Amino acid sequence: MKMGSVKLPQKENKGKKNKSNFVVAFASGKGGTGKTSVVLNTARVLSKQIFVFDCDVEEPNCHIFLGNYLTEKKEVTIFNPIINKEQCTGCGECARFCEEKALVCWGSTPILFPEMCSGCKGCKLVCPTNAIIEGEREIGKIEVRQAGNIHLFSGIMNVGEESPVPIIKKLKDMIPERNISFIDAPPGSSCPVVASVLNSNYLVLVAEETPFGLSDLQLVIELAKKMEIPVGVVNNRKGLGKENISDFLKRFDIPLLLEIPYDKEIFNAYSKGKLIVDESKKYRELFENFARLLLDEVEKKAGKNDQK
Amino acid sequence: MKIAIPLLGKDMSSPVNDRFGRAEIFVIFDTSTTSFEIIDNSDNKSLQQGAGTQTAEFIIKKNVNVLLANNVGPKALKVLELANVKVFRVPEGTTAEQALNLYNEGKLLLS
Repeated sequence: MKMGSVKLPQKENKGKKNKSNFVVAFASGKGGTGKTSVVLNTARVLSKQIFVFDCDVEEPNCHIFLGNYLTEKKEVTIFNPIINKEQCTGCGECARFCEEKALVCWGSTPILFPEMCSGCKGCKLVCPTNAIIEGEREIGKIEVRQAGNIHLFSGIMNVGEESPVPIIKKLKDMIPERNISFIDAPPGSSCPVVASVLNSNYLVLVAEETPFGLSDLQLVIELAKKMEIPVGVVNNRKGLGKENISDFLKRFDIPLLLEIPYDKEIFNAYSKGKLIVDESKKYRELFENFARLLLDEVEKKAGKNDQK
Repeated sequence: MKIAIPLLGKDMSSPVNDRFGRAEIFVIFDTSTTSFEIIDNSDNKSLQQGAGTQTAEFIIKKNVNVLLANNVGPKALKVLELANVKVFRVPEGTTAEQALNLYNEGKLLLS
């Protein structure tokens, strides 16, 4: 992790946007609303190379839809301190500084709980005797696949790890400079989601018209507002719930970009691990229209932000 | 010798707190003077993570030799072991006074 990554690079990126280079994140708040399905069906119908980042590193699943065309696999490691006992005076500065409380010290050489360390290197910086050596620890993996026009990068967190954020950051370092990238964010509205959608030019929220769906949707809408990312909504499984999403979105002045019906045909494809756009002409057209609308929206909204 | 006990109240008749790292109050009993001191662990109690290990560090720095507690997590236990603090398991609902008596009678088991 570079020290410079502490500040929010959002503003910097705003100037760099152009037609052929932008990042669209897909989030939802509530789990199981269909983020992955919407990301991949949309990516599939685009007539160009597209880079998809599965940032749901605790339970990545984009690859299931695409088949197992693994082209690359690499370990994700983070910094972990190694303490040189001969140079350590047991002063405890490192343990006092450690935000994660991964180091414990009572006048002796500190004890490290590796799984609690976020890899910030603060201990190394504050150590007055330079007793901390740079070690590393594997926290997960990144798998790269290609299937047709989709280049998929999946983050996989090791079991027992405390935070998915470092893996999400490493994954996003691989976002290409001159292409369209889609990010499949995890559910919720906390740190992993923030890390996933950070620096995106546009955020698509996949929602459902249930009380739970709208309640969680509101949380992510508020998050996007704070992060100054323009938002559009996809209403998935229309007809499932009794809430009215159009009325709901009017309160926030957010466009409804797509409505996908509550349709058995979609479930049939899903249950076989297939993309509905590969199975049905009707839905391919629906997603082609959505993709066009989405790209227009991104250009429009992202352009607005550029002039800020 | 100093004996630490996580407590729910601020005197020797208070029950032992069944949590260790997130216990707000500890009593430290000094066997050489038979006096006790109540200490405040609220800074460690509210930590997002590491409450157990930080509380362990806290009582180690108070020169405690023995901990009487109901439940100590594996990380805190590791820290306490490395600092040679002996940890004895106290039954739930025991008061500090009863716990000390049980310890003196040799009726407590090591965690």
